[in-house]
Amino acid sequence: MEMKNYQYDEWNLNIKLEENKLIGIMGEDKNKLLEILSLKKLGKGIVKVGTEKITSENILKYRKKISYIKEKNNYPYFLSIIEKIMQEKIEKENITIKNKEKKMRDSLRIVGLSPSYLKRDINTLSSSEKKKVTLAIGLLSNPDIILIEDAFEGLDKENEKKRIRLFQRLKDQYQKTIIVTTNDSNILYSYMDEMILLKEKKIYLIGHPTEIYLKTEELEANNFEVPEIVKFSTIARKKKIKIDYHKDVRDIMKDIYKHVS
Amino acid sequence: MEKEMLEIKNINFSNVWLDFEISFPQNTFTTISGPNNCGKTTLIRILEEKIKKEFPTFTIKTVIPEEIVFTMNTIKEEIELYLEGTEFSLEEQKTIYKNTIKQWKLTKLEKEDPNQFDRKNKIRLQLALAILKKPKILLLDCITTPFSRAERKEILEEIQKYQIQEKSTVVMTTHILEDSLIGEYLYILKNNEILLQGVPLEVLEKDNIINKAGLNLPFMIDLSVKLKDYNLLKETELNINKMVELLWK
Repeated sequence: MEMKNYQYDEWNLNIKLEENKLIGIMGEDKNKLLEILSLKKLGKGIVKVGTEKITSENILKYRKKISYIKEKNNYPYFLSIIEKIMQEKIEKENITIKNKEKKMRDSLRIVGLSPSYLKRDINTLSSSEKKKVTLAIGLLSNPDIILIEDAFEGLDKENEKKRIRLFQRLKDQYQKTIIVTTNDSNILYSYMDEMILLKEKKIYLIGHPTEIYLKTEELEANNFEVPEIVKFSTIARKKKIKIDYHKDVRDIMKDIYKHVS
Repeated sequence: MEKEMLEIKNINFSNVWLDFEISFPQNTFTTISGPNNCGKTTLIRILEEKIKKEFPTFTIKTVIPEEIVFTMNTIKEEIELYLEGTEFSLEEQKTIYKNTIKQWKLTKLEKEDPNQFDRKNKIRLQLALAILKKPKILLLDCITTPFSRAERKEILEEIQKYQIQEKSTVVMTTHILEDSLIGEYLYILKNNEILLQGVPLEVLEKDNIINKAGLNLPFMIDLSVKLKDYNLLKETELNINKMVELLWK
C-alpha cells in the first residue's frame, strides 16, 4: 500500500508498505493510523494498493481486501454468540463463501480454537480467547491485509509467542500482510519485519527495527521507548565494549561473558 | 509495631474450593501476578466481596477496566457527582477538579464525554475518581495493561503516593511483572494456587519458576540473575548504566 500526500483529518501521510510483511506501529495515535490504513473512509491525495490507485469508485473492492480488527468490540447480548457474529458479518459484508459452516470452523482452527467456540458467548471469554476469536472473525473475508489494534495487549509471554507464531504463519503460509499496533518496543524489536514510529500525527521513522533501534539516543530524546536489551549494548559500546545487539537475554549474556575480564 | 494483616482465608474460585490463604499487610502495596486465565480478575472480585463482609467499616474502591462506565457527560460532572454529599464546599470542589485533571493528564479531555474516551483515559479517570474518596482499600485489576512503560511508571507512582499519604492498602493484579517492583509484596499465581510469594525482587529472582509459569521477567532482573550465576555480579542491578559500570569498571 502506498500513500502520497494523503490527507486525512489532521494527518498528511507519505508512506509505502510492502506486502507480505509483519509491520508494527508505535507512538501517539497509533490506532488512528491503523484506521486510516483501513480505508474505511477515503481522504484526499493518492492511495495505491499494488499499482492501482484507489478512488471512490473502486474503494469498496479494496476495503474487502482489508480486515480491520479493533481492540474492543462491544457485542449486544442478542448478538454475542460467536456463530451468530460470524454469520452476521458474512451477510452484512456480502462475503461469498461456498460452505459457510466450514469457513467458520476453519477460521477458528487457524487461530488455534476448536469449532466448539462457535456456540460460545464472546462476552464470557478471557481476553486472550477474545483476541483469537476477533481475529478468526476478521479472517472470514479472506483479507490480504489484516490490521489489528493493540495486538498483544494483556497477553502473557506464552500467549504473546503463540500470537507471533500465528501471525508469522498467516504471513508465510497464507501470504497476508499483518499490521499491528503495540505499546511494547520489545515486540517491535524482536518480531517485526518493519516498524513505524509516530509523533505528532506524522511518521517519525519507518524501517527495520534493528536499524531504527540503533538510534537509541535520538529515540530517547524524542520520548520513544527503546528495549533495554538494546540500551545495554549501546551503553556498553559507548565504553568501547564491543557487545553486539541481541534479541535474546541468553545471547547477550554469552557476549558479556566473553568481554568481562 | 507489626502491621495488622488483612487475612482472607478459603478463597472460593468458581465453586472450586481452594486451599490457599492469601493475606495482605495493611497499609501496603501488594501485587498479584500470573499468566492469562489464572484468575486475577476473579480474585479481585472475591476479595472485594470478602473484605466488605469481614471489614464492613473499611471504604473500598475497585477498578476493573472492563467494567468502567461513567454516568455523566463530562469529567467535571462526574467529579461533582462523586463529591456529592461530602463536606467539600463548591470552591473546594472546583480546586479538586482542577488538580485532578492535571494530576491524571486529563486536561485535554475536559469537554469530552468520558464514555467515549479510549481505554487509557477511562482508566485514568476511574482511578482519579476512586482515589477522591480516599478509600482505605484500593483493589486494581490489570489497570496498567494498555499503557506504555513510561506511562505505567507514572500511574503506579501516583497510586503509590496515594497509598503512602493515606496509609491505605492497595492490591493490584497485573501480568507485567515489572509493575510489582513498586510494591512491597508479590504473589504469583498459576493453576489456582500460589506459585511464589514474597518481597518482589526476591520473588523475581526465581527465574526458572517464573519462566515456566509463562511470564516475562523484566530484562534487568533476568540478566542480573544470569550474571550472578556466573559470579559476574553480586547483587541484582536494575539500572543499566550502573550495571555496565559494575561489569567494566
